Amino acid sequence: MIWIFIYAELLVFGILFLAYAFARARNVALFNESQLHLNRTAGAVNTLVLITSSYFVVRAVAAIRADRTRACARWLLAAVAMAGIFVVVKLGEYAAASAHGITMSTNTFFMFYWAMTFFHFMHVLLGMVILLAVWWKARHGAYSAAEHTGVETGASYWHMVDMVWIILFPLVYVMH
Amino acid sequence: MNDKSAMLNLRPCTITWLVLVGLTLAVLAIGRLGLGGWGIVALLLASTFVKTWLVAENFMGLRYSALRWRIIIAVYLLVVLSGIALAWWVAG
Amino acid sequence: MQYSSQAVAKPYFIAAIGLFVGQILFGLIMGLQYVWGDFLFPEIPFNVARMVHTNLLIVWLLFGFMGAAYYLVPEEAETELASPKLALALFWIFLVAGALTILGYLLVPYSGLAKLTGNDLFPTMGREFLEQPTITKIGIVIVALGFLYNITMTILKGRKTVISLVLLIGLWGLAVFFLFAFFNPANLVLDKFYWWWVVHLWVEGVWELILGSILAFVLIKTTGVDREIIEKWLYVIIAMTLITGIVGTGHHYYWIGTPEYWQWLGSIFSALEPIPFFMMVIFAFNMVNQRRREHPNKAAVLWALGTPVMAFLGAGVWGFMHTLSPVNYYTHGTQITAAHGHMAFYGAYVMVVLAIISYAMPILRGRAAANSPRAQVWEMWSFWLMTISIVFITLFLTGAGILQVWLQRVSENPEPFMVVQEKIALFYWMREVAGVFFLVGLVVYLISFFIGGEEEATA
Ligand code: HEM
Ligand code: HEM
Ligand SMILES: [Fe+2]
Repeated sequence: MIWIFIYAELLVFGILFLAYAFARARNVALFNESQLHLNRTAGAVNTLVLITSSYFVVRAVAAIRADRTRACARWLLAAVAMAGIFVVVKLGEYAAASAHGITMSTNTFFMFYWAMTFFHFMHVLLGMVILLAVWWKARHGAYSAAEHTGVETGASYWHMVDMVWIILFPLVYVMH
Repeated sequence: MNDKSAMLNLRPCTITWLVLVGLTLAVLAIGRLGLGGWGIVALLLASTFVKTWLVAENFMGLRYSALRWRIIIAVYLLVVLSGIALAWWVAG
Repeated sequence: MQYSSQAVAKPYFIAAIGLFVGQILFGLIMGLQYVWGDFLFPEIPFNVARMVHTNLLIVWLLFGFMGAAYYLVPEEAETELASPKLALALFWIFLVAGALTILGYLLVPYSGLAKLTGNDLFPTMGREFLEQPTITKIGIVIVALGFLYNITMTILKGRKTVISLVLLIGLWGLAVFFLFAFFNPANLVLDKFYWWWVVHLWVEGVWELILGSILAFVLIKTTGVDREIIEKWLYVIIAMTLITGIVGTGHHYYWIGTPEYWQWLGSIFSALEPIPFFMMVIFAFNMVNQRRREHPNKAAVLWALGTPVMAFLGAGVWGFMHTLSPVNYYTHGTQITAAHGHMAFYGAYVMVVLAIISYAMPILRGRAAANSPRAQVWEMWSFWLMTISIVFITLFLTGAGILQVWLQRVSENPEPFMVVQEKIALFYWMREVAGVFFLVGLVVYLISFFIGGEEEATA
């Protein structure tokens, strides 16, 4: 069931990516020029952070499969901490953009930049809430090697959030 | 323990993670150098495909689920990425 | 009936059906006025009939939702309603206030009504769907608060199920967004901007949660499928609703003076709004196919299957048709909009209310689990008559709309509005005929209630 949800979410993001790509085709120069204002390093750091966070979640699932509840909780907490770094870096980016007077109305590129990254940002926040909930339950011994659907569901959602960013980063920050 | 056996002891998911990090750094390098053009776009899309596929198969664990779920993800990635390629081609 | 306090749902359902009849009569009056301009002039001007038609629609749907909640929540929470007395008192307050308001529309000129109710002190009137005098709006809020208190307390003291929680969120959302009816900035752009927070975020947001939970309830009861499966579907459906529907509001922000990015956001997100409706179709058919029992109430199952199908057609397909901004550029505010409005409202909200009434009414009337087969046959006839009529109303309006767009907006030599209206009058006649069939269907529906029931339920 979580898969249907994940696929539906991926569909929404997929449409956004394609809309971006074809909107760019109608205005290449503007997109290429605007893209230069983005901070590629921040984008890459955030990619690394999310990938690592995803990796921690994989370790959490492996731990619970081996019935190591405490380790599972620790990995989850580490994953959330990584997500926290993502949030901080992203907010820094937003602050810098705002300081330069860049808003959704600046031009079509920045409309997409704000819309897509912010939509993704909301997913990160939601993912953090989910992971924290799973962490809380794990810490209180709600999961075991026999029954840990909750951990796997949360993990799948979080990997989806990661996957979307893996596409978004090269598409919006790098490709021209 | 020598280096070689340490290598062999890496979990598959750790290797996946290392590959993902490597590819991300490569994308960053391309970005910072401001590289562009056909070859680069193809390279970026290919690396994106590899990365997303790795996440789906090895992290999400699609490797162990029914074939149709794996096919859906593969088709999804191919459609989105080739759609992007098409848009770049239209743009010229 | 499992809990005696569920009985308060009955007057709500009866009132809903009564007002439904009134709504349709005024629809027919307007339909005739479209082709015969001074019909009933000056007694009932078109604008008054329109107001009565749409407000009755909203009010009877609200009666239906409240009745549904009073019926469903005790059963889900496995406890009696917190206060059946309050529910009955609110019923009469709401009914009397509603009746007075409608009489006000009919007997007093609108501007007079505005003056009478002190609209100049705190202006909120004069906007489509929100025409009610300010005092009526305040009354609505009071009734809503009392209702929410009652429902919330019931859920808090009893079992908490996904269905009742989703319903509760939907109902709270309904009340919260209605508060924007009191917000009436002088700036027209802002006025319209927030007006849609009521209208769009109702039908394409919180009402969909209400729709989903009522539908899920009827499906659980009639199919006996595991609650867990149904709950998972419900989660996914509401998540998709909110993800697409909230930003989807942008499809109303194309031409009202809002920033240009709404063209993109509105188009992209609202284009995905059909997804949750589509999921509801799959969900309902899956559940019925996996049913664990043959429920004797065939009519209720028919309504429960018809609802997602018609909602998907009306909201999903007809909505998608004009939701992309380059298309909406041509179709905005034409008969295409009216076509969509009719099928979507009927398919989603009218039908879901009729579905829960169909399921609950026999039980509320002390019959066995269902009406007699003969009564059900009548009810199913009314299902098909009304549903097919609304399909034809929609098709005729769509035909009228396409011609209208073509002659008046796309053509090299655009023709004036009234000239075009003359040319498409044939479609309006056909709409009126389909409307008469709808009324016939409605009468058949009413008759089905008076057809001999099963022997009284024992125990
Ligand atoms: C059950 C759900 C829905 C109901 C009851 C509904 C009802 C309505 C109504 C009554 C209007 C006319 C509002 C007015 O201007 O007075 C309207 C407008 C509109 N609806 Fe829906 N709708 C629903 C779902 C959808 C969906 C899912 C979409 C898109 C896929 C959509 C797209 C639109 C658009 C684009 C307009 C504006 C038309 C114009 O520009 O004139 N609707 N809807
Ligand atoms: C359950 C059935 C019905 C529902 C849910 C319904 C709903 C609505 C809604 C939502 C509107 C506002 C549309 C908009 O703002 O674009 C409307 C307007 C209208 N309806 Fe209905 N209606 C129903 C039945 C009928 C029938 C049977 C007729 C007559 C044949 C009718 C005739 C009209 C007319 C003439 C308007 C005014 C359109 C305009 O302003 O140009 N309706 N109705
Ligand atoms: Fe809308």
